[in-house]
Amino acid sequence: MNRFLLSGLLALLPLTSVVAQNPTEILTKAEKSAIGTSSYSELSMSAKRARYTRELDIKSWTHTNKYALIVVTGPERDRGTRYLRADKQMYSFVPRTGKVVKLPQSMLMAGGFMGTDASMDNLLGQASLAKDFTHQYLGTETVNGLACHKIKCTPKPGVPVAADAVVAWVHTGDKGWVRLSFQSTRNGELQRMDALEFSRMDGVQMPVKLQFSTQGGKQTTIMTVKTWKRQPQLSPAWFTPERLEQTQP
Amino acid sequence: MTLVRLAFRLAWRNLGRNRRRSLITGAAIAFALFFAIILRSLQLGVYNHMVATVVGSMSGYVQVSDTAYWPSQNLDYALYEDPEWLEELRADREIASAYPRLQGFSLLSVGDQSGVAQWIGISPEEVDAPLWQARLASGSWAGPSGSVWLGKRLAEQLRVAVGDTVVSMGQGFQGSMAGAAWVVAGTLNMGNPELEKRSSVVGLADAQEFAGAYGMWSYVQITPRSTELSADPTADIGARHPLDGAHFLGWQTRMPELIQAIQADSSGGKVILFILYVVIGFGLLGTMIMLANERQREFAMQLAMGMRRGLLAGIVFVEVVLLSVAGALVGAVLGRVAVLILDQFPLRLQGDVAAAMEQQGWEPILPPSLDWSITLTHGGIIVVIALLSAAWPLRTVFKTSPVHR
Repeated sequence: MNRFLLSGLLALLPLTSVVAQNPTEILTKAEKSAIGTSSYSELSMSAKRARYTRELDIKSWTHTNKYALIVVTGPERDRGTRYLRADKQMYSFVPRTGKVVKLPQSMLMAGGFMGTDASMDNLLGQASLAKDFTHQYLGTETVNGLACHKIKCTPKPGVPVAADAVVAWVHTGDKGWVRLSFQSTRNGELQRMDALEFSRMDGVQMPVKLQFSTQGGKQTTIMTVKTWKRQPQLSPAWFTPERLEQTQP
Repeated sequence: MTLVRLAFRLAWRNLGRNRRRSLITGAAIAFALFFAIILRSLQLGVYNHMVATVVGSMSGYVQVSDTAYWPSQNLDYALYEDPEWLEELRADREIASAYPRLQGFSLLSVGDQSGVAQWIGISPEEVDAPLWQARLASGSWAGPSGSVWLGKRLAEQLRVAVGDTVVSMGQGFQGSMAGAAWVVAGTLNMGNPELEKRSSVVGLADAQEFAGAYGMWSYVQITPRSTELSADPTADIGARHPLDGAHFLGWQTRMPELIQAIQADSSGGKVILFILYVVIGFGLLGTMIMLANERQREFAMQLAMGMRRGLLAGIVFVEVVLLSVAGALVGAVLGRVAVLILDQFPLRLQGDVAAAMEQQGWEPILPPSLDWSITLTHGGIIVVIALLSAAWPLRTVFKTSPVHR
């Protein structure tokens, strides 16, 4: 009887510690490495469609979640296509046009990135779940085999995001977010991101294999992080349209 | 047999005995049919005109596309080029024209100005067609490769003129990146202001290069020779010229909202016709009651002399049939002639209405439909109404007593 009671109490223990946790703190901790570190990375993406699979290789420089430069290195037809985000400005360069084009900010919220299920803001820096959203703690759940805190995030007014709510599953340990579900009140789930594999890169714990799903999981894109390095020297001043024009694939 | 001949002969003579009455009844029927035909022909003709403007010029009466292309109109579901099949299609006598196209959306930008527009890659043969020639607002169609023709309002919005360069970027074929710098070779009157804000036209080869869809068509736009509203030649053409993985879609399937708008408007026209028929129907009934009353003595006399009621009723009935058929024939001929005249010299709208229609890209005319089925349907309806109203004199025949008066 005593043992029974004890095991029951033990089972309750993690729950009490969770309730004590503040969802904002959980998210702040999870986002610290991703947003707080300037980086250089090489990624490969593979988008599966009913009739074809699209492979895409990119190089990317980021600083906080507001500055990013992305250069496409493959396939051959798209090689050299570049995107730059410098806070609220967005630019693009396509080698065949030879011109830097300023993109409307709405492009950040709409549409997939170059025919994949990742969105433009997934790659060019999305709003901070910790800072730009209000939070509601929904308990713990096991996702992709990992115990997670489930947190519903609602964007604060004026934050430019396409989703009406984001449900985040954050690992109870130190792995960070495991699943993000971008939801719209009208159309249900718009996009889902799953972190499938984790690793330590240049000393930082992060997901290295991600899956983006849209249209209720009918379309998926796998993104693999091949290289990731800290780049502490990057600053907002580095992300200029000139840099966009000059950076070679 | 002899009875029937007798009935016909007597009926014919009866008609001649009171020529004025016969003439008035026949004329009522003829005029009702005449107006019904003109009303309906004009109404259906306007729909044809509307469809020709909305459908014929842009998206086509029939589109041949990949089975997955509609309704998303996704560039990824393009067809492989098949020039032999296209040649065969064009050789078909029932097909007026067939043009392949490739289309999608892109972001057009010039300096700080940008706008999202549809790009349509059209073949050189299609450019040569009078329709596109007539659309040119400025510039010329004789642009080198890499030329773009912008909708008039799109050009204004981007603040570009002929000779300027616009950068076009967007999603290409199967996720690839589409990008090109095009030189504006002309601007276009598309008729519809919304189209003028949202359309750009490029050569088919340029479009294929731009989107990375080498050797692909989004769809083939077909205009059949017969473009009457009711006709959907889709299955017919599709069966004669099959293409692997493709299907033929009529505009009726692709634009159900246009069909619905037409049906809604058409039922209004049917209500007016119903009122016309009710008025005419009671008019006819009035004539028939008058006829029955006038001839009651005659009926009584004939019955008294031993004529069978059945034969008498038969004679009256034949009279009405002869009258209504003759009236309907005259009405049909008059209606047909009027419709043919209206077709040659269509009614032209004036003033504000005309200006509004022109703004929408429609020529402000009311052309009639030349469909024979209108004449036949309404001829049938009016004859049936006449026969129904014959019930009154028939009733009189059976009620009249040979001895009472």
